[in-house]
Amino acid sequence: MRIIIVITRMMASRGGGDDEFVKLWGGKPDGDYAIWSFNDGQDILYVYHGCWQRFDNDWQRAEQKTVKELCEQLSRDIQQDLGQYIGQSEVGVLVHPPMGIEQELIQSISKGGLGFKPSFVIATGGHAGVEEVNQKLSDISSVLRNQGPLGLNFGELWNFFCKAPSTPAEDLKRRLSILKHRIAHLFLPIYIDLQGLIETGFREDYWDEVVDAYKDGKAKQALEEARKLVYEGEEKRDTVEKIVKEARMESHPVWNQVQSLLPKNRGLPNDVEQILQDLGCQNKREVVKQKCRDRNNPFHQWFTELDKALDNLREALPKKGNAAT
Amino acid sequence: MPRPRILIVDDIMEYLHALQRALMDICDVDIAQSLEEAKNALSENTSLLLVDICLDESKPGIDRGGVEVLKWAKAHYPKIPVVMMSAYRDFEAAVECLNLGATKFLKKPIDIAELKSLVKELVK
Repeated sequence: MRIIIVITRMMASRGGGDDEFVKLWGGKPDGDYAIWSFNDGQDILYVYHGCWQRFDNDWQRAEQKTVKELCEQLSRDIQQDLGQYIGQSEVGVLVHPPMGIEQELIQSISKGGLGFKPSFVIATGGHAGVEEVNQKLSDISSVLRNQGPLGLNFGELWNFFCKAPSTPAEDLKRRLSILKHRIAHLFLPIYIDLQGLIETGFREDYWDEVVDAYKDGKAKQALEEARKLVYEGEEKRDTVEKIVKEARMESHPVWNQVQSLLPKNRGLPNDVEQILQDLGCQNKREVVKQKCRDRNNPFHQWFTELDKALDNLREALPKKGNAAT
Repeated sequence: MPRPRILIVDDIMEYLHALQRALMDICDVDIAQSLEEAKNALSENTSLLLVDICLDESKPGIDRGGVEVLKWAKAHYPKIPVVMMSAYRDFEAAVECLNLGATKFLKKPIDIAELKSLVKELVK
């Protein structure tokens, strides 16, 4: 059994001009949900009436609810309406989230915040890059109003939403740009210092200043920080891996390339990690000099390849409404 | 001829220090991390201004604090050449900077040899 849950605009005013449940789905202003069944009751389309009045009687207080509180309320209501089916079904969720907490809400629902692990979670609404999803919802509601459930092929709908990106494509690109920028800036000082050292033939006073800048493992710390920006971990922060998962690109060759250039649990290729470590050691001048004779040194190659791979990953992110291939 | 003096404006301190080390052979280097610091550091003695477009690392592609530095410098010290730099592909910003009087736009990561020749050429 499969269930598609559509949560209409969560901060709409019940019965107001922005109430998608009424305007788009033809629901009654005082209704809480609408439901259609397909394939002899094997599949269900359930539309939850999102409106701020369901989260609090006061609009401002409703808007200030935390993601956890919103999920708890949604979970209670959905369990009440669909409880008997949820446990034995594959469930997908489309939600028009409140402004400013889109990512947080999507992530929370993806991780089971509604009491079940959905097969897909997709943000809908006025975000750039989800026009095709919004259009699909509009088409579905139109067919339901005119022909009823018989006019729709539930399997096709399910497959369409399974392939759609979970968050707006433009947003994924923007988030990856920010991470790429942060990762680059962790290594730019090293990039400049190695160029300066090579140009001066690893002059002793220059080397002393560089050692002073990277003593106490500062260059390795930059590497660890870069790993935290690439891979998901304990901390609640955006990562490249998170974006890749949201775009369903876990097996994309460009992501594989990023992983091989900056592995999670292994050293960097071509001794780069050792170079980073040696930059903070006074007695390693000759060692680093031998490894970095010219511009085309292992660090330079690694850094430019990583930068390029992140650029390529950004370019490969799905275009509006289409899944990556 | 007095030793040239350049002012570099970027919000990443480690990067400023690395550039300072790289350029110390050919010029004196002052550093600033914001518009306010740049206003205090810029003077008639400055031979060249090197500014990153984004002065808030958390907002790449959005923050354009460096453009404000460029505007202020051009309003108060129109003769000082200004070179802009950015790690972010922002062609619109590059064109805007050149229209506002920037001499050149460099893409990070910067090539030190290229930067040194540029400094030598511009401070002649």
